[in-house]
Amino acid sequence: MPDSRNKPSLPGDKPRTSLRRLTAWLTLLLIAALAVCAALLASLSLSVIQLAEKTDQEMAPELMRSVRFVGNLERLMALGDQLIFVEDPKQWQSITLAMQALVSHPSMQLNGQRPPLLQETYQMADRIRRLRLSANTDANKTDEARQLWREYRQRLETLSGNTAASTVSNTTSLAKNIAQSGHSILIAGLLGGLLSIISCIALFWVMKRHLLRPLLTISDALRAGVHNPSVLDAMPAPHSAEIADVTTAVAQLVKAHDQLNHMATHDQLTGLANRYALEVRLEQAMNSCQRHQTRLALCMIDLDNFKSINDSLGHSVGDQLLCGISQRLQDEVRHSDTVARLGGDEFVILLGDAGTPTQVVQIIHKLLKQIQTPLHAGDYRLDTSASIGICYYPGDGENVETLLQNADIAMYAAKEAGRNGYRFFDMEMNRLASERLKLEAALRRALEKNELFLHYQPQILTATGEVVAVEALLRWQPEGEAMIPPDRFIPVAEETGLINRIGEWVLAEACHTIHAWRQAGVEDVRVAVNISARQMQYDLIVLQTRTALDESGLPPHLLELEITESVAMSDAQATIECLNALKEQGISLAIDDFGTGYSSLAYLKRFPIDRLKLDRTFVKDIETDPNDAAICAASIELARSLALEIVAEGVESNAQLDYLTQLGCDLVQGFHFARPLPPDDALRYILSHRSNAATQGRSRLHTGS
Amino acid sequence: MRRILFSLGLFCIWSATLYAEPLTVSITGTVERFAAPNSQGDLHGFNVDIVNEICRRLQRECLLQVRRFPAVLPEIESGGADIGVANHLKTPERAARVAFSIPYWRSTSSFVAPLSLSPNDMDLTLANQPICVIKGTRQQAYLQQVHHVDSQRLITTTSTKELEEKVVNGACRIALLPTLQILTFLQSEPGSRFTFYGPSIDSNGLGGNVHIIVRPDRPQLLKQVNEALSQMIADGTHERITQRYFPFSIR
Repeated sequence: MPDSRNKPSLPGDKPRTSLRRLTAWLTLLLIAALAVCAALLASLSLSVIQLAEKTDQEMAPELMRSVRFVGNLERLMALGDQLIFVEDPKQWQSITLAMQALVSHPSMQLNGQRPPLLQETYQMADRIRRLRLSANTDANKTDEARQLWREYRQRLETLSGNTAASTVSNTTSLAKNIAQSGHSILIAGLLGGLLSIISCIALFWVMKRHLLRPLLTISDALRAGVHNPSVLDAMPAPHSAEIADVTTAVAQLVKAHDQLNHMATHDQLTGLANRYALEVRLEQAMNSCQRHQTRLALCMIDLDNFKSINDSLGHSVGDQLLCGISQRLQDEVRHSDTVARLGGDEFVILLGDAGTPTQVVQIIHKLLKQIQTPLHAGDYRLDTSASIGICYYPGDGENVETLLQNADIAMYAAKEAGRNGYRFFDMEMNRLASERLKLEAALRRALEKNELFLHYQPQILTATGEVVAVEALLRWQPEGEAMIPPDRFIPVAEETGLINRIGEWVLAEACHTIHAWRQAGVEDVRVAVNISARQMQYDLIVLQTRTALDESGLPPHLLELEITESVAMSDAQATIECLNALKEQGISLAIDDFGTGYSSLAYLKRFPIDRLKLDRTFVKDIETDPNDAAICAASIELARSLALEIVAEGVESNAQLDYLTQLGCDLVQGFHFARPLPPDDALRYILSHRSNAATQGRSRLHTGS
Repeated sequence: MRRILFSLGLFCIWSATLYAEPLTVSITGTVERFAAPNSQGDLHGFNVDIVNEICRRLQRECLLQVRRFPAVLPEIESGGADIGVANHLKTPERAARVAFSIPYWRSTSSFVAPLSLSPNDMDLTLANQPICVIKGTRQQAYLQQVHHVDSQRLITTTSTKELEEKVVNGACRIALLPTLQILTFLQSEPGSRFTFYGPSIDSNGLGGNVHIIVRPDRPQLLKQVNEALSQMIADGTHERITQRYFPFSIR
């Protein structure tokens, strides 16, 4: 495949060098240069070695022969010089014979040849010996012999000098040759070294320009951290494909890091800071407060009706509402302040330098006003409000966790105070919150310790005075403590989700109890069980009821589920599906607290319910309040028209009973007949009441109290 | 007791390894300057000093036994002696019989004749006159092979001394010997009537390198002798010994 990295990706991009190819070429060049230098040096060294060896093997013996030749020539002259002073003929004979022996010796040859002068000298020695021997008769012959020697001596001296000079010349020539070769080697070595240095410098320069400098620049840039915004600006202009790859990778890494960092510190929907970022900034702000002796305010904001908007208009509209609120919150605070979203409809505003409480209140008012301003999402006009809890640092907590918790407590206090408002955190809130936490912990243990139990309140048929049903009511008495009323612990159970487990237990327990009553002879009493909003999930409630009925063996028609009007109407379509499924099991269904909410008659008509339960608030003043009386009458009439039975709860007097009976109410329930009773008492009450009813008829209704 | 015997045995083995037999050297003893008895009867000369120096450097005791020239080479060849020092020139025939050391001096050959004999008559003299020569030498071979001197004219001797006597008493008109070997004779009173006859000869094997011969079955000894000679030449010992007996360098 072609290597696309070496090619410019865009028109106008400079073609980049490949470091791999560059390195390979430079290495080859360096190796070639070194090889040439090595070959040159080896060649020159070899020639010098050969010269030296030649000198040692050939020239040295030759020089030795020359030296010996000259030496013996000098000895020859020394022998001959004795003739000048010696007179004895015998000594003349001895000397000349020695001279002849010397001249004829192999050492007196040059280049394998005896010089002609020496051959003549041999003859001369014989001649002057003969001249001296004959000198007894002619004295002039001795002088002639000596003169002859002097002539030869001069010639021999010349020969000796020439030979010595030639030897020196040869030696000098050899030395010159060796020196010249040495110079050549030195020059070649210097040139090779220079070439190597130049090659190394070139290699280093190329590596520095294309590799080291870019890498160092990248290293320096990265040392500041990939989160540094100037990292990409600090990246070097790449001259090579490989460095370009690195810078591209770094750019991608920085981008990915930025994205990850943004994702880790920001809410994806609104773009606000998330919990992690808020905690970091809060920590920093707390440190700043400590250093500068200032105070910060932490505002926990929770939208009051977001869930209903989200459920009724869909998540898309809910998301638009959250985004709009987020933008408004950001617009209302300083740039140095932090707006964060913790999740759902929970926002937090961190006011770094809070100033005076008055200034904080001014900001809070502006925030509430902005939130209250209607917001348009598509075709919908969204009206909402918020509850805000505020706490300070220092003062309301020493760490991030405590501050967030206390702001949350203050926010709940604002909600409990009627919503669309704000509360500053105080220690009383903290105490209440602590108690709530303790209650939650105790409630979790209550199931395991069997501290929960059911009481049953009878429902009386007005027509016959017969107990036809009981409502199962949950009670909790912790071990060694007083009984805790349901309105204290049921909300806690619902908020914490414990209501699912508790509701399941209530269903099972109620079914078992009624089944036991059937064993005791009360075969047709129905039990009504309240279902919480959290239980009203299709899969959950259907499974729980089926399990309770199967395990207890109770006929489905003896189980009635009561769903409050507000729960039923919060998602009416889902309620219809859920109720239909329950109805298919044969379970009886009732709408509880009827009249307190906003029931849609269209939906009410479609609910597969059997009866309506009129809320006790309407019954309480039915005799004195015409409005309550009218509501009761209308509700009874509505039930009748929809072919539903109606149950009035909270009946506490004969007058109320008479009025309701007169209006045509089917069933009544209240202290007038019986308080919620333990199972055994309730059973006894039913049995005794049933026998009395059989004998005394309806009149018994008025004596039941 | 056993320990003592064991120790003695070890000592004997150790002593045996240290013991080395003396080298026997066959040397001609009638050539002045090379090897001849002095006034005290002790053998002295260039060859004697060279041999002694070699033995010293080999750290071996040498037993010099004087032999006539013809007897030297056969004795070395047969192993009767270890080293022969008799101014041997190297010929293929001789090299096949004994080992030759590196050359340690160089020689030429010269005819010796009475002063009265004219060099101009050399051819006539060589063709008609009796000639003395030492038996078994290259000179004898030269005369027989080159000048075809028959046995009636060729008078052989077994030593230089004997040859000199025959020259003096006129048993032969001329003689052929190594130049340096006859120089002392010519410089002596008996030889004063004689002189070199014609130019010296170094062709036909009559001149050139002179060697020590060594038993052919002792290559290690030959190597040691060569090393000793090389060291002597290199450190000047050879030249100093030369100067004791000769007026010039003979290498």
